[in-house]
Amino acid sequence: MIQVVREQKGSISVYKLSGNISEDTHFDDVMGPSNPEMEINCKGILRINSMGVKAWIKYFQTCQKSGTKLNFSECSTAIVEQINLISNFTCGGTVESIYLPFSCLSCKTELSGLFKTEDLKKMKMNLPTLKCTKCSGKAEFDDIPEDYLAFLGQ
Amino acid sequence: MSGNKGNESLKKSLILLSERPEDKVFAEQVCKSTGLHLKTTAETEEAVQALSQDAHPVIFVDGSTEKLYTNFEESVGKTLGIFSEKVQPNAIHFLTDDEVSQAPFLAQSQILGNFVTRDPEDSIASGRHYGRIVKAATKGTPFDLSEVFQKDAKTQAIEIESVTHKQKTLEAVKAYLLAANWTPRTANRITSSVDELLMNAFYDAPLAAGLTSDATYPSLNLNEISKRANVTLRLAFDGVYFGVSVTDFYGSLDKGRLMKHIAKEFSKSEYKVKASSFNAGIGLSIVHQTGGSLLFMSQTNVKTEAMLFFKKTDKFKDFKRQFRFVSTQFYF
Ligand SMILES: [Zn+2]
Repeated sequence: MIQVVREQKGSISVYKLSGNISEDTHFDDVMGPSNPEMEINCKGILRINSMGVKAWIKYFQTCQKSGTKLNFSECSTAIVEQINLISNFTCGGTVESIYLPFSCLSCKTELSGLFKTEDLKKMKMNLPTLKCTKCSGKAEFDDIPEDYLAFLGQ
Repeated sequence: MSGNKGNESLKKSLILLSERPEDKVFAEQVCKSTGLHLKTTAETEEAVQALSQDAHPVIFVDGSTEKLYTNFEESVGKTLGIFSEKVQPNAIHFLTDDEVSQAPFLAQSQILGNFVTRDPEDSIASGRHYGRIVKAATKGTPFDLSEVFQKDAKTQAIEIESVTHKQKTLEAVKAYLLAANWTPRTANRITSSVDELLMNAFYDAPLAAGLTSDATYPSLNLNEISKRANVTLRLAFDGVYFGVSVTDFYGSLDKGRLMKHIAKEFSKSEYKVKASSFNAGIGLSIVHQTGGSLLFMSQTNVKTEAMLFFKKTDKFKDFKRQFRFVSTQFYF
């Protein structure tokens, strides 16, 4: 199931999404009608299945058609994967920031770091390391950069 | 053609048509697991001759380029005929460096049974794992996940009586993986793939069997379908490989359609996901592109068991780069 928390930031309606998106997700019901400027915070989305992808595209395409300015922020790894796998996933919206997956070289803990898309473009695949929150060891980006950041070149 | 002598000739053979040393290492491992007798050749005609003379042979063919594939297909057509009973797609394995989407000549081939993407880093381990698949398939009769793992792992089977139990089942799969020390990201990834297989079994299989239609889909009553649903989920883990399978009892899988879906890349702008139509295409495409191997065991009008295999790795990037295959085993 998906949870949606809505708040207003000036003229922007911010929707914080969390949980799993599937055939049970009815975006019209949980999100309500579109607004002129929408920020979709995707930090809490763990999984999305193919029927969830269809429901997502159906809802955001309608927003796009009504002239909504769409902005996706704090995209979780599950959402970044879909952005890369499905050419029309963002429905004309912008991707403001994404989580990058990291893995600690010492204790193998999975970590994630939030990066702005603009900054990632400047880094040109030279991704920094993080300090492990568990053991203070060095954590490296743990995915294939050309795959995970493919959407930057689109 | 090189091969072992003596009473080995009484054994079923594995014909390897390839010049690549890593394919020989891979095939030798498969022979160790299966007891098949290896015959290696770089000559297409010789391999096809062996195919016509041996009893129920298995053949591994270097399908790295379209030219290599075409040579083989033409020779088979000339010597045996594509529809000859000597040409059994279940026993034909193409070895390549590419993914399914990069080799349309293989994905669309009428004689394709098994598509293997080589693992250049470890032909021994990949051969050992693939040997289990070949062993289960060489029996010549339908098999399930437990027969692939045999004694290596205990298989659990769960009957799912209704689609309404899907979410609970998925959470159980995820909990099983986390308890077995899979990382949260791989656990979520595998759970997503299982979700797609369940979606296929609950929705696409009855659709393909003609029991529901596209037109009824958006208003389709979930309970209507779930009344007919009877899906079995199997899980197995041997410490290195995790296997999971979903069985439906329609047996409605179509190979051509399946391979078309798997080979499609929705990241290319010519393939846009349509919100209106219902198909399992994106599901299977995503399952394949996001890691793991696929095996479809289909007994026409009886059942289809879709199996997934994932290697446990410390790092996610190694999980994504793991040895992979797409195997189809059809029994009519
Ligand atoms: Zn650490």
